[in-house]
Amino acid sequence: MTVRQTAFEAIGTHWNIQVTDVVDNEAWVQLMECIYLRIQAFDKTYSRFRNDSLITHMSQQAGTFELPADGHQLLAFYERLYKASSGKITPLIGQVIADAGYDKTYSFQTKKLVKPPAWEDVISYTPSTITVKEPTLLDLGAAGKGYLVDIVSETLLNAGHQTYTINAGGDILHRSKSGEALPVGLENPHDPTEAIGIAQIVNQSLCASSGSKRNWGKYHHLIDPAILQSPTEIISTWVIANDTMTADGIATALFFTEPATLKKRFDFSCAILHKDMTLYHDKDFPVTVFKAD
Amino acid sequence: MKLTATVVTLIVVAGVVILTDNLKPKATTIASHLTPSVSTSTTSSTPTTTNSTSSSSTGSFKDGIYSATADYFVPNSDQRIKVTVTLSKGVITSSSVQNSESDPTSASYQEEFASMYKSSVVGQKLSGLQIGAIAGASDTTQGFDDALSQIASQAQA
Repeated sequence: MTVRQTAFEAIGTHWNIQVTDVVDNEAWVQLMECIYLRIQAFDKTYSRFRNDSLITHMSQQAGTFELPADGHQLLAFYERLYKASSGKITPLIGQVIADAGYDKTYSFQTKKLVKPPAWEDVISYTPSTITVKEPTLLDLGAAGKGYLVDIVSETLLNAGHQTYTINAGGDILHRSKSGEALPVGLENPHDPTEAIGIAQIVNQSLCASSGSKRNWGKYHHLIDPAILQSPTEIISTWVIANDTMTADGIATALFFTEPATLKKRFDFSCAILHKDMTLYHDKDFPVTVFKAD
Repeated sequence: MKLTATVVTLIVVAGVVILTDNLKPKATTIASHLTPSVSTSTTSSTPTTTNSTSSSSTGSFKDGIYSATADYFVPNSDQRIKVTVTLSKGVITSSSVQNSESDPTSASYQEEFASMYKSSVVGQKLSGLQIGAIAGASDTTQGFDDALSQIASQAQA
């Protein structure tokens, strides 16, 4: 039995895939190529940074567009999250983030920000199509990466693997046939060479969200659609859930919506770090924290 | 740092609506500041209020939607709370309480964290830790970093 590891850069972050039960080297190489192509196909559809993506086409013209097979589940999740967060998590934030400066060319020049329209006024979808009533720049960054990690996991499972770790820039899925937990450091947002605690996951996903890296001027990549400002009180969130899409989306939503409100509709446990370095975590969030005193 | 839960009590006595919010000593009690903001009839056709005292009131309030705001203080900023009640035939048919949006995390302070463990934490160097991965802000790509440093150097020029 061999442990194999593959690392690459895709969808704007670093990926690392570790599989511990590889027996066939050639099959492994093929599988990794297949996964890489799958990630590229996802990027070509959902990236707002590509000129040839579906997202970019929708930002240029209104109408009904064909949706790939993976689209419906992602949109349905976004719609649930939109409702659970009272509209705070919305793909319609895309134009706001771009206007704030995090745009296709990374201009980081801030224009005047305009509050995004309501979901129901602009977007509708079916299992195979999406319709936008006006040219609309969507951003699926809150849950898209997590969803893609789940898709990659599905590919590994289908290939017969049962023990592996997928890490897409800190969105982590860990599966272990023997039930061995993966210790994951919770990064100190003030210093990426440090952690403020260690969480344990097994057959679960852990995602983090923090404004500490993708920031410019007074903004980071999370912007409250109601007030058009980036949150500053909460500086990092971590979420453990049974799937990565949920962990990813909730990690973002916690910047705007209370855990109890989100728990009415989603299963997860979480840890929330405030700017004064106070960490709040659920009693069932498995973590050892590094206490200040 | 934690704020007590936001509780707004609506009391209707003899046709006078008194709104009391039990936030903090510094909170303002609203009474008699109510001004009708909308005088059109309400959409609710079946009053569902449990405030039975109002039905015996003299009904000196016209039908309509009334709202009032009050300020309270939390660390970092002043917060505003807006209370809206709908009166129909002297009966409150609906009410809502809205916090101001000036601090997006304000709501988070109000009740949630009581059920969670709270610790003051510090960082420890990753090099001394037994971990299999690190979870934080997603690493940015070279393109992002380059663009940002370019902007920064332009700003300094």
